Amino acid sequence: MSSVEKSNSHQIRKKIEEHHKSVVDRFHEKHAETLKFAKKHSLAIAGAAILTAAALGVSHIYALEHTKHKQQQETASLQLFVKQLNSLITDRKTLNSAEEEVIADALSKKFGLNLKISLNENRLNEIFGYVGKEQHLYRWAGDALTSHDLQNAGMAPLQGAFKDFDDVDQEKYYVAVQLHELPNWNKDWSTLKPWYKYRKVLVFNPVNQKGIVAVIGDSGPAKFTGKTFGGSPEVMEYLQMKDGSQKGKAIILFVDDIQNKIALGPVDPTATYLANK
Amino acid sequence: MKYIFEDIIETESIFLIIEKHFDDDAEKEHMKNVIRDTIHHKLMDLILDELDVEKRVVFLAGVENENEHPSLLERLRDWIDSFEEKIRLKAKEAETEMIDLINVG
Repeated sequence: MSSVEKSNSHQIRKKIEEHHKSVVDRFHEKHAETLKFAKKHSLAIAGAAILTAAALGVSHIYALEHTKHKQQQETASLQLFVKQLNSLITDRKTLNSAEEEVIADALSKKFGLNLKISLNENRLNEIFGYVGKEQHLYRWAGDALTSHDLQNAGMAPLQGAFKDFDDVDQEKYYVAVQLHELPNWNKDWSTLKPWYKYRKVLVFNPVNQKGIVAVIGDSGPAKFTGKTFGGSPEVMEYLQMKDGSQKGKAIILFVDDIQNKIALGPVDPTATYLANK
Repeated sequence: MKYIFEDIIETESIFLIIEKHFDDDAEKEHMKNVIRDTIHHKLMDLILDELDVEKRVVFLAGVENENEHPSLLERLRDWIDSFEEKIRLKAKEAETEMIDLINVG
C-alpha cells in the first residue's frame, strides 16, 4: 500500500470511529431513562449483569473485555452484598438506624429504585420483621372472591383500612403495616392516614433476594401476633414467604416515586406480568 | 457476538469499500465491527422509539442472548408494523451515511 493510500485509510478509520462514537453517545443520551429502567430489571434477572453494555453489543474487543470484567465485578459485588446483608440481619430482632440506611442504600442500587427509611418525615416503627399471610380484601362494593386470583387465600370479612382501592393492582400487591402502633398515630391520624394510604413500598425477601413493589393497603397485624407486616396472597406467593411456624422476615422500605412512574408488582422482567405483554 | 438484526439487513457495499481500502486483516475486522456496531445502535434507536416501556424491557432483557433472538424477532414482528421493512430501510440509511463520510474529502 502506498503512503497516500495508507493516509487515506487512516482518514477513513478516523471518520468512521468518530461517527460511531457520536452515534453511540447520542443513543445513550436519548435513551438514558429507558436503559436505566431496563438495567434495574436486568439486575433482578441476571443477578448483576450490566445489561446495557451487553444489549448494545459493543463488538470492539477492548470494549467487550471491559464489559466482561465489569460484569464479573458486579457479580462479585452482588454476592458480597448478599453475604453482608444476611450476616447483618441473621438472628436480629431490630436494626439500628445506621444499619437501616446501609440496607436502604444497597437495595436502592440493587433495584434501581429510590428507597427510603423515612419519607416526608414519616417512617414505620420497623422496616424488618415477620410477615403474615393476609386474605384478599374487598376492593369496592360488589367485589367477590371469584374475581380475584389465588382464591384459596379467602376474603377478609371487612374492607381494608382505606376502604375502596383505586385499581386491581393495589389490592393484588398490598401490604399491611402497623399504622395503629405509630407513636403519633392517635394525635395525627387525620393527616397520617391519607399520607400512608396506598403509599408505595418495596418488600424484599432477603432469603431469595426477590423484591416486589406494593402499596400500604391495610393496617395490621395486631402486635400480639408477633408479626410486623402482612402481605397480600400475591405478594406472599411471589416472595415465596410462608406464614405460621415457617414464617420469614422481610424488609419494607418506602419507594420515593414523586412522579408515580414505578409500576406495582415484581421487580423482575421475567415475571409473568411482563412476559405476557 | 451476533447482532440481532444481522440476518435481516444487507450492508455488503460498505464492507466492499473497507476491503478495498485496508490491507491488514485485523484492521479490516476492526473497521467492520465498528460499522456493524454503528448500524446496530441506529437500529436499536429505531426499535426503542417504536416500543412502549414494558416492551422495551422485554426486548432489552433478551437482546444480548443469541438463543432469544428468534423469539424476540417474532415479537417485534407482532409489535411493530412493517418491522422488517423499517429495519432494512434504517440499515441502508446508516450504511449510505457512512459511505458518504468515506467518500467526502
